Amino acid sequence: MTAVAGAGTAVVTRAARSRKGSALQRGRRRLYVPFVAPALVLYAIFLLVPVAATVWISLHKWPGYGAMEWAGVKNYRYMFGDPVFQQAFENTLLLLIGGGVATFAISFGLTMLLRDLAGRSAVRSVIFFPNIVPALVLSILWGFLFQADGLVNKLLRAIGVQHPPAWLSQDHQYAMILLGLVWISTGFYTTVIMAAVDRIPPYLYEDCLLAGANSWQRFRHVTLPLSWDVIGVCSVLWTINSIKTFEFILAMAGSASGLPSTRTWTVSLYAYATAFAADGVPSYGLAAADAIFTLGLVAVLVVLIRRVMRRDAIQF
Amino acid sequence: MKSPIAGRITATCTAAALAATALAGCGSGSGAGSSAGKELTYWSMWKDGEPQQTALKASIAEFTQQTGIKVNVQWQGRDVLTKLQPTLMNSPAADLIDNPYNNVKSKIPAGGAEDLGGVLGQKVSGEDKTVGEVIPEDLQKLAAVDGKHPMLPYVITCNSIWYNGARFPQLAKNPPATWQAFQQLVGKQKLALDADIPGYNASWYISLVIAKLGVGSFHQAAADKTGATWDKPQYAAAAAQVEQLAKGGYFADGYNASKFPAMQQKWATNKADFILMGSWLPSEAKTYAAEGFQYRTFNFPADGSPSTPVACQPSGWVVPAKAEHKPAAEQLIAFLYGKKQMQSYEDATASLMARQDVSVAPAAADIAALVKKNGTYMNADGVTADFSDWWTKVFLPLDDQLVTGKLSAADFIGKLKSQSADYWKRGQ
Repeated sequence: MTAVAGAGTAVVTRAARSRKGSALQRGRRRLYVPFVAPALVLYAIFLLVPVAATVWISLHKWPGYGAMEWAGVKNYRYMFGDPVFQQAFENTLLLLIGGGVATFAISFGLTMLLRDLAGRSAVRSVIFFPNIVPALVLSILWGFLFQADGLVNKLLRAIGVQHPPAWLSQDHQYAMILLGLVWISTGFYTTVIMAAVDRIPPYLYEDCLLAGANSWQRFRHVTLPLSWDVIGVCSVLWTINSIKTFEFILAMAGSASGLPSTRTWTVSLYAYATAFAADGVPSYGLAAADAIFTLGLVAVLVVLIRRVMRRDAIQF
Repeated sequence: MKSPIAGRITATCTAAALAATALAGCGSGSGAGSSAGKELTYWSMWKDGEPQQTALKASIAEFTQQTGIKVNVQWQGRDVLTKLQPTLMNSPAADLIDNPYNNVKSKIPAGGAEDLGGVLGQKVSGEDKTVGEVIPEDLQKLAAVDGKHPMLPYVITCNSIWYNGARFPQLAKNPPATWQAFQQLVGKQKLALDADIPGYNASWYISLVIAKLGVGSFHQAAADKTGATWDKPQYAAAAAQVEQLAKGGYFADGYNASKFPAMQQKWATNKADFILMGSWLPSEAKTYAAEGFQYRTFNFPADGSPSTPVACQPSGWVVPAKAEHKPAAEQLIAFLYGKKQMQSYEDATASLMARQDVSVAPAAADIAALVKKNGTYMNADGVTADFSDWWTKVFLPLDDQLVTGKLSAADFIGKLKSQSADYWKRGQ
């Protein structure tokens, strides 16, 4: 009995010691809060509080000064009923899905093309270049290329096209903006995806060749599964970036004297125009409602993408 | 018991908070209270390097030299009012700003700006005249809001039809006075229009409405929450005239598919003949205009309305009601209305000044004469200040389609009526 009791005491003491850990672990635990607290405080001040404030503002009518007037969900109701917002939301989805499919398709195509190309790092730099050029410069270039008397139409006329398309007309303006965004983004995503593909051991491709796999099969059974994690991250990045897209459209379709046509607005531009239009009383409540909607949209989409793209990690 | 680390963190946080408070203190308010009257803070809508900035900078230096009042200037750029707004009702970050009328009227809440009516009675430095005597009365009225003067205008921009005087010398003496005469003139010529800028497109329709129904008619229709005013035949007739311009090939090729300033450049290089544009045009076009280009302009032709004022927008001085250094700011305003200061601004910028006794640059001579003779009305009939959201969301998108020939006049009026009624019903 004594022996049993002694053994029991020993077990309890060991368990207690392991709970407390070594002196180093105890010290670490004690320092955990002081070390994490500053980051947590900063995170709360610069992210959580502003988000909470934005939610609060979105429930009010407020021009950015003076007293706020309680509005409840009026701003949200107004926003969802506003045809301009509906158009902006459509445009955002078009960019997110249409632009996303195009960007990733081209990025994969380029990755496959460049994989075995000599001097690919130089080519990669060239492809990446549009990503670092400011949107304003690109908008000037776009005008130079695509306006009625631009370079593209001059070339088309030179090869006998009598009536080249009106690329920058209102009907095509948003499509041209999408084209510009795809062009800018492709270099970035190609670079990231190429970095992932570079990590795939060459012998897997050699094995594919020996097994007689064609390029689609190589892509489907080697490249895609082994770069899946990176593609997941890229999808999240694209989702966030496309929903936030704003300055490129402002530079492409706007001017120093005003906002671009509402036909080119996205949800982000809607928020900007509502809060910072040159004329008129700013509607911070409505802009905040739009911002909260955008945040919610991003959160839902990111969670969905993470779930849909979840796979067991492949070790190689 | 507090651990030493926790104590140090508390101390650090306290120090950081104090530093932040001190910094915030530095940023708020418009200057040290002890030096009230001897300094002021001016946030300018001009940016460093612009001709307007150069002229104002020199005038401000002279003001400081003469009065000993130090002016802390920040060349903030056009959105100066947006930046000032959060502090406007409590402790304004500037004692003086300048901005266009539309912004001042729409963005500054009632009681947010000092009524500068008192400055009108102040003597202009070095002159016998008062400020009110050097600013023409109709310009004072144009820049007033409900009979008060939250802004005193110092420069105006006006819309008119511009052409190269070297190519059309006969027009200086015989400009087309009626729409019919104008149509005959442009039957053989081309109009330049950068239709990617909705505000430029809108000028055509609004000018035609005003030419028929007179000043206030566009504003009246915009203010009608039922949309019924748009049913008046003159509104449809004005739309039909724009449709005719669009579909009749009057606008230079590519106007609907180019990027500003492509069409303006066409005009300045004699590939198009007329352009409806603001009085800033000569300064914008001077870098690419053809050699020997003579900037001449005539008023938008009448089409039934007996009076033919010029569409203008004043820009001017605003002193926040809660500014700390109001007397110093008002003293600076009165100083800047001096003939010498106005002349130096005019010489640097070729603008249209509030004072009509300055010598006008050749490029601004026609428009200055027009304003003097015909008087003015608020650009866009004041709608951009009063119904800005409706203007952006309802009017401009439909007008863009009308000007580019995508919408017939009848459809334009029909949609304008129904969408306006829906817009006001939704309310915000």
